[in-house]
Amino acid sequence: MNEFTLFNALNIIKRHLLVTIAIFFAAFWVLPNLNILENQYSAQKLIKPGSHHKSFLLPLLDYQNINGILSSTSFNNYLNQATNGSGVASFKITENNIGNMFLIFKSHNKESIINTADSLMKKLQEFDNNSIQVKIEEINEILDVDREILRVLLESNNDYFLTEKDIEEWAKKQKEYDLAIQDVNEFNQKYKINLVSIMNYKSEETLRQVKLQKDILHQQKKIEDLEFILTEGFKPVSYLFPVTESDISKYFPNSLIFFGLSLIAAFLYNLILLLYKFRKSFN
Amino acid sequence: MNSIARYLLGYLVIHILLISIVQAFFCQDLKILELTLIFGAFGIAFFNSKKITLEKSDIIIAFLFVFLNIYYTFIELKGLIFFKMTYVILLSMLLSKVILPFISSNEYLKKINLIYLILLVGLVIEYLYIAIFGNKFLVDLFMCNGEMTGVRGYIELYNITREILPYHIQGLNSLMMAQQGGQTASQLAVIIFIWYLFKFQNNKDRINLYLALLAVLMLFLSPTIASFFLLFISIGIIYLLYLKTILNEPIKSFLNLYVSIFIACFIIYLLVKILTVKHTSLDFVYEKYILGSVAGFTKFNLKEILLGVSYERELELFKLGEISYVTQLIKFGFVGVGVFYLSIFYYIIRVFSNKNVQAIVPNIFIIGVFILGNAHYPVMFTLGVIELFVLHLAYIIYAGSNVKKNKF
Repeated sequence: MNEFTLFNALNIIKRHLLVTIAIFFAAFWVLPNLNILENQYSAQKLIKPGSHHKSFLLPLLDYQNINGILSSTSFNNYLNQATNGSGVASFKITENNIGNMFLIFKSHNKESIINTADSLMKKLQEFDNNSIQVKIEEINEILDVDREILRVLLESNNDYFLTEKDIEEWAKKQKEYDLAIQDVNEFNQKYKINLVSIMNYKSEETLRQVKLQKDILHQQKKIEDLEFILTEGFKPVSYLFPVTESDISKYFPNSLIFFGLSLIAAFLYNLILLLYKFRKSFN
Repeated sequence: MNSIARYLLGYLVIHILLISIVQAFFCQDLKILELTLIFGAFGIAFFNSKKITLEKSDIIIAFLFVFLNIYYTFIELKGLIFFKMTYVILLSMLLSKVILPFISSNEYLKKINLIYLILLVGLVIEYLYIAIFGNKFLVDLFMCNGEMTGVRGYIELYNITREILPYHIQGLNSLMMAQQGGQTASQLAVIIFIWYLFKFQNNKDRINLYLALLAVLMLFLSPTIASFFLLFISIGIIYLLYLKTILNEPIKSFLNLYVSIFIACFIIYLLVKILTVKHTSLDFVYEKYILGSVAGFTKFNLKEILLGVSYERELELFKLGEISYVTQLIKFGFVGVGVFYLSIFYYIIRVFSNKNVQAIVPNIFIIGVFILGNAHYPVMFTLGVIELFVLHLAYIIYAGSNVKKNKF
């Protein structure tokens, strides 16, 4: 035979088809147990952006900022130091159509994914916390003023009350006044002014009391609101759920890869076989 | 087998000339026909397997492509991204086995000649039609939203001649449609020019010279920068080939040298002018198109250099895809690109061992121009054009094979 035709090749392949299939299945069964391929893990975490109270606008990190920070060289240096030798997992931030941000971590080591994810988020939170701290100081200043106003209002409350001493003093003055104007014949005329005064006084006193109480209540509410904003109004960027080992899954090698490798092994057998037969046919 | 070979070649001619038009007319992606064609050719080979002679290189190259496809599909999980390159090589290999041994080279080359003639006539008619009636009818007839269907129909292309000529005619699409913008028609014009110039050199029939000049005229009427580069490079190589024939003649005068220097300087000046028509300076062109395309390579690891990067990483590292070689290197790495181009290179080198075959130089030249065209958009990988490239490569594979050698 001095010519190697497609017919020869197909015949050789046909004759060794069973062996080829056996090689394929053997490789598919053996390869996953050999651990020749290093496992690669990945984790996808949904990022919850930082939030602020609507009354206090704050420049918190958004997708562009986070992307910029994560791609900076200094951030990589920080991660190298922060992960304490467990290695830095590769990571990438993406944003889907509805604006959700995802961080995807990949590494051959689960621990490095957890460490990288934690360190990364700590650093991002630092950025948000710095912005939040400035706003907290601003609110604390407002709170100091409000607390002082409340204190003044509370302390001024007693000044409005008519004490017994005030009445005695008033009665005494009234007597002196009566004596001084005895020549007035008309009784009603004589006491009318005083009754009106009392009536006016009572009316004003009531209004003042109501207003004061309202002011105090408003001030207390305002302080309570601000204190609530201080504790609950600002949240830095965070993961929606904390990073745990259960979030990490193995993505490489998977069964498809072993399928491909087994296929390569089977075809390699055929290639070697054909080349051998080819050579033999010309000898 | 002879009639099957003829029918298959006839089908390929019709396929090359009509596939883009049919695709654009029905606005339906017909890439699946590539798969049909390769299976069809394999089917013919299979049923005539006793007549199909294999060579060691065929077996090795075919298996290399199979391995790479398995790797990219199952291990890298990138899908059938290596299919186009596999298609080119395997179909060329199959056609060199099922068509060329059963028909004469003359008959085969005549069919290629017919394709180029129809393409050239198509370009002329298209230009005249647009000049007289405008392109509205063509745009309406072959309207297809490329982003939605993956098919590019007839497109109103910018024509740089509007800056020079007193009238404006949109850029030519050609029978292959504007699958790669204006590059398709202009690159085909360069290739038609080369084909007919060599044909003229071979048979001294002046009609071929006129057809070659007509092709150049069509290129000048609807030019692109990349195609101008291709034309200048082609003329340069043709001139070098000519120099080879007069190398032993004594130098009588240096006049030609001065003229050549003047022409070279003028061409360089013209190229700089063409490059800076759209952009402010060459610095800008270099920074935007060259640096922008290659800067991402600095972040590759060894595996990525060898076998390419994932789609996500490509998006992350590269903003531009203006240089097709670079895009291929990014996707397939040095191994993928190397296997493809080195296979072609191997077949070209091999063909030189057989001196008794006609039209080797124009076929190799055209393969080279198609490959050089990848410096910008990959025209040679578009539907219709890819089969045209395959016809040339199949010829080269056959011409260098032992089957052909044994015929002499």
